[in-house]
Amino acid sequence: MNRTWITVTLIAASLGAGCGQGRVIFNVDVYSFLKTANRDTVPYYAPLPPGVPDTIPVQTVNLLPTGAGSSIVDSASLTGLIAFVDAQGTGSVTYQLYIDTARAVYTRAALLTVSSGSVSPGDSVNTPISLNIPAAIKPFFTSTKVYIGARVASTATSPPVQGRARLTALQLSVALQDKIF
Amino acid sequence: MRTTVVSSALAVLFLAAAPLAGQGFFTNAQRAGMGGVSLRVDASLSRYNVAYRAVPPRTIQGGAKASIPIPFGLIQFFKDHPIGNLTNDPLFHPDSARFNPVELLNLILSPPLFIQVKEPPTPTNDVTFGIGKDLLQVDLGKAQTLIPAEPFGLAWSSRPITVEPDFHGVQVGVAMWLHNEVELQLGDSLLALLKDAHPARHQTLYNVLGNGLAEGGLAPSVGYSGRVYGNEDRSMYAGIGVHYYLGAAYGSSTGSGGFTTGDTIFAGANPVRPDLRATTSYSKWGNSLGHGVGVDAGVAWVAGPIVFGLGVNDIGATITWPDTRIDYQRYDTTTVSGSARGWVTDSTKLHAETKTKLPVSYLANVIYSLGSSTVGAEVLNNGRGATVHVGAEQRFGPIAVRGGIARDQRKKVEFGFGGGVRFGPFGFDLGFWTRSNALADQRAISMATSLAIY
Repeated sequence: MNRTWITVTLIAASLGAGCGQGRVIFNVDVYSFLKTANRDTVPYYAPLPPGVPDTIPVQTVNLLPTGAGSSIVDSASLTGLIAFVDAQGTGSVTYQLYIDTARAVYTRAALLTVSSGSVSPGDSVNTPISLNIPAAIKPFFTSTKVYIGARVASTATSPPVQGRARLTALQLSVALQDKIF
Repeated sequence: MRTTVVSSALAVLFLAAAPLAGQGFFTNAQRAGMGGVSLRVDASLSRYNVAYRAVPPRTIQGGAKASIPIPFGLIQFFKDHPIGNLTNDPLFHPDSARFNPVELLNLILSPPLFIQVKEPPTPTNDVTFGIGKDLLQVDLGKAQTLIPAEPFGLAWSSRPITVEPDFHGVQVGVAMWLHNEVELQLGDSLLALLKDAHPARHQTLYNVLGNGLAEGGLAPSVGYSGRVYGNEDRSMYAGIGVHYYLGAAYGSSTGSGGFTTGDTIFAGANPVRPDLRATTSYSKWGNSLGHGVGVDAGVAWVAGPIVFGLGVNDIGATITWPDTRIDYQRYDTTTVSGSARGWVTDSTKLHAETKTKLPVSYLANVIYSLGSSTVGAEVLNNGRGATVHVGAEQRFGPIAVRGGIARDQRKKVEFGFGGGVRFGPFGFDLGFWTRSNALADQRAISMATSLAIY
């Protein structure tokens, strides 16, 4: 991926590792990766037309280029904001976020499910995202990269429902105990 | 891997001990307690001022014939780091959660011969990386102070083994000589990224500049030192030594290593372009010998209780290596069959003549001894910046009290104090001194102990 970031990372990580009880903290702007790839917005439909995917192509999010060795992840959290912009129909929408160190992210359970509540045409429902990432997922963040996926599902009470789920912020914060090497 | 780290660290540690002695690491508790000044006419003075070979040691009262360090620090060190477990010791074990590279580097910079009264502090703050598609920001917090803004490294010129018997003032012999230099400097952009937490910029080179040199050999020498004027109470001494340097092996390298960012910080599979280049020249062992001539000269003036000296070493010591090979290396990012070509070496420049220069070192010192009091000052430059030492000793019968102050190569003020007690022909000395030869912004304090023989 970014092997040549190693120089700067090793210097910085060495100092980080040399900081006694200090931690190494990564603030990763996941939204910027999705936004650049035009994957920050996912259309939703109910019912889902044939051939229209309800997921985004899997996206790669870079972490520390060297990885974080066998460091221990103290804490990891996800915060952000998603807007459900309804264009047609009434119903509810759920946005699910997937994460894994393997590209097949949709084969595991969703990390996060955000529900819009009831949406009606013309609504733009902003829903905050806040999640303390479970222990089983934390070790993922010692890798050099993780894969992200998103799925949107809609349930119609007055079909057809059509709209967009648009992320406006998604920030990942990971705190590691200083053991880069 | 572990064995390599352990053996490398220990090798560096022991190799570093000698040059560090010239940079403020003392093995003599008397000197440590006086801020590093030498108040005796001994080898530490005659190393840099050949005239002192002729000055009788008894010129200064109270001086010991020899000082033997008592390495209590090693007891402390090996208690904390059992020798049978060194290969698993977190200090040398990068896989350990307690491995701390700053601590290891500080150990190399200051070998644990003596007890560390106050260890150099290591920062304990968090380090934060900001990562985005077009963002990389590194905030080292307080650890930013550890990033050197100036060039940093080690350089020393030494004669570890000298056999120069004296025949009525004439010295003829041979010395083994070594000269080493290692210097690194972070490029401006990398410095701003690490020291000032500036975000990485587009189309910018982030690099480290470095150069290193190592050479050594033998130097047949002839010299003279003797009294050229005066009598026992008021005398002028002069000395001169001529060395014919025969270089056995030489190698040097100058280079830059880093990368250039693209239009987006994290874009694509290879978002940055490696930028690595080096020029290496060397003359291997067994190749044509290097040769050159250098001169040491010095004068010393003894007038009753005052001793003054000025010595200069390695004047004009330029070594000519008649048959060196020069390699130009660069990392070629041109893609061939899907991957970069990698390192490309141009070795067409063979049998080139290369010249190297030994650093000129000088020592100016004065010692004033009256009754049971001795004070002294010295300025020493051994090729990498001047150090200044001022110190004094007051003796009360068998007991001596000492103190001193110094300015080290980093231009930081250091302090020393200590004392000693004499039992007939033997004495025990204790010296405390502050030191800044560590990756820290605060001074450490060491306690030296040594046995004196009078």
